[in-house]
Amino acid sequence: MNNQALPFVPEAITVHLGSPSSNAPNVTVPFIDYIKNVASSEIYPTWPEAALRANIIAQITFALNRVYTEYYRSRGYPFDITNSTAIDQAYVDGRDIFENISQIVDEIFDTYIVRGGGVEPIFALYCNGTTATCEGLSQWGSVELANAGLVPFEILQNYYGANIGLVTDAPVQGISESYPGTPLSFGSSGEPVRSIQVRLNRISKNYPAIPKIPFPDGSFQEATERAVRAFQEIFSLTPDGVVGRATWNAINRIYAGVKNLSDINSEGIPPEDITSFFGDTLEEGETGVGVRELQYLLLFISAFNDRIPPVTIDGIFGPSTAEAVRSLQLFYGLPQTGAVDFQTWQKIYDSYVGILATLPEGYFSPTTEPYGGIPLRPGSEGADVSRIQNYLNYISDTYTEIPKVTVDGVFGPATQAAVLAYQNLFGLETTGIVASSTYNSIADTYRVLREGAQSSGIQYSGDIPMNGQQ
Amino acid sequence: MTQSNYPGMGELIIRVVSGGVAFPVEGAVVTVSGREENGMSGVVYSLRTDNSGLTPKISLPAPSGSLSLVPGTGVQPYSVYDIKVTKNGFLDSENAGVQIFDTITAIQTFQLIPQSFAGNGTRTNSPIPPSQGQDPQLKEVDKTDL
Repeated sequence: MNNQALPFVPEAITVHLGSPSSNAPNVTVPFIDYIKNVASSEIYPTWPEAALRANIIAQITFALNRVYTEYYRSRGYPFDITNSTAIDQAYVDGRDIFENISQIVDEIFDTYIVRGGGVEPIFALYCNGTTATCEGLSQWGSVELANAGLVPFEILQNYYGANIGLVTDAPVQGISESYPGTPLSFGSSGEPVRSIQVRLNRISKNYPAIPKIPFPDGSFQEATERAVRAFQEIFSLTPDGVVGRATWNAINRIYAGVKNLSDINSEGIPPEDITSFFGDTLEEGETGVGVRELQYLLLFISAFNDRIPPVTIDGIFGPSTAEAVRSLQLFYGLPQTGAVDFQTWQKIYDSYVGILATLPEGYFSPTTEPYGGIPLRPGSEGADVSRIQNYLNYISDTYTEIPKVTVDGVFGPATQAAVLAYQNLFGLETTGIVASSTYNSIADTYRVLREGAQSSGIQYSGDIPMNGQQ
Repeated sequence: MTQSNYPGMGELIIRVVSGGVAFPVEGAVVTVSGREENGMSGVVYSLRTDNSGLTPKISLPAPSGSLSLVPGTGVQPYSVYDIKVTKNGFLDSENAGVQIFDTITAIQTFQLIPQSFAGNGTRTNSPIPPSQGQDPQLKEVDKTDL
């Protein structure tokens, strides 16, 4: 086991929906959603709050222990934990969760049990305490202790020993902003306020029921309070307009989730000269641009389908890429070979295009369309070519090194020259072909220039805070 | 709606999203059905999601909350409903066995998967939680062997 790194709360956890060696699917879900599901499956939401909290901390600790010790992964399994209640904890894929449990988890998902002065999440065994007893927490026993007036920590000490401690602010993967320590409310000011204002504005692009905060200037006034309330209403938090720990964590979590897809879309893929990779079979061990293209499409699809684990775009067809391919093949009823043959390519492409067709217009940004899925090259024709010609022309107003092209939807020598000039100027490999990396770079540049030109008035890009001066 | 057999009442809100939390699905049609064992079979609510992907909060009959506060009553302490979600462009999704507890608000999230471009007709991604009793699970002490 490799325990070099400090424990952290992972962004997501992969759960095997069966006993370890069974041929069951895996599902990759945000860690917080996993804990909400476990708590809703293991215990009853009607229990006293101190009992709920003690049990939830034990469940978090149990899961973090599995992740930290790489219990399954070190044995070659492609998952972090199972949902077999004999060896792990209950997780019922797709079930309902309970609001009171959800609110507690939003507040304490980064809290876990350690022993002595250690940092490792302990192996927090628990059982129901009636039909099964164990050297750990008794679920029904915790109800009695809560009814007797014990607080959650005392309940945990009762079962795991007096020498335990709680880590209450474990680092959370993918979230850099930790809770400032005291609630933010009407009249608060400072950097943490500005941080949530910017995030709420970004979230409101996808959730228009949250009113925009016109001046994200770090001052918590009526507009911020309204936005916080609306956010709390939507995400099942107590709608008090105050940003306590649970609301702070939820804002950061939803913000990360909303931004996630835009980040995938702008994932940098080095330029390439793809020669009909689409027809070639790719399999484990291969490297190169075809693999990158495959990984990009898989990552995008995985954001919409939790049966497919996310992959890293590194151009290397390793075990995790093969695992993602197998998961996709399982989902679509193809033979689970882990290799990408023509049929699998076709399904991947169909899924990608299907997602694009389903997304509301302007979802990725107000001014650009996402990558079409097929590289544009000399000889290409159609609306995708016209679009890239438009973008290049607009960019060339600012970057005059790029020659103007005629917008005719035909990728001829003039378009190729403009693409080469763009790639040269922006430090991309000069292929003259518009694959995902070049496309996304051109679209980003176009968007930045367009939005820059319109940045007066109440246009908020969300990610980039305005000064608050108009 | 027929008369239920339950003395208690819980609440339910349904959230329909795609792409994780990124994309709330507006205008999805959500039907909530009861079961004969609850004395209320058939569709009890037909709802539509708003621009946050949420249905209105609905009230549903449930057994008395006291049943879940002590072990070994032998009675299922929650009522069970079946929910189906449809929306153009997405695979249908359903959940058989949504649990409702007295005085508690339940939240049921549906992660809709966009239909692939070629289309596979309507494909059901159906997570089915167990409908049997949910007395907290037995765990074995020895977890060292796989």
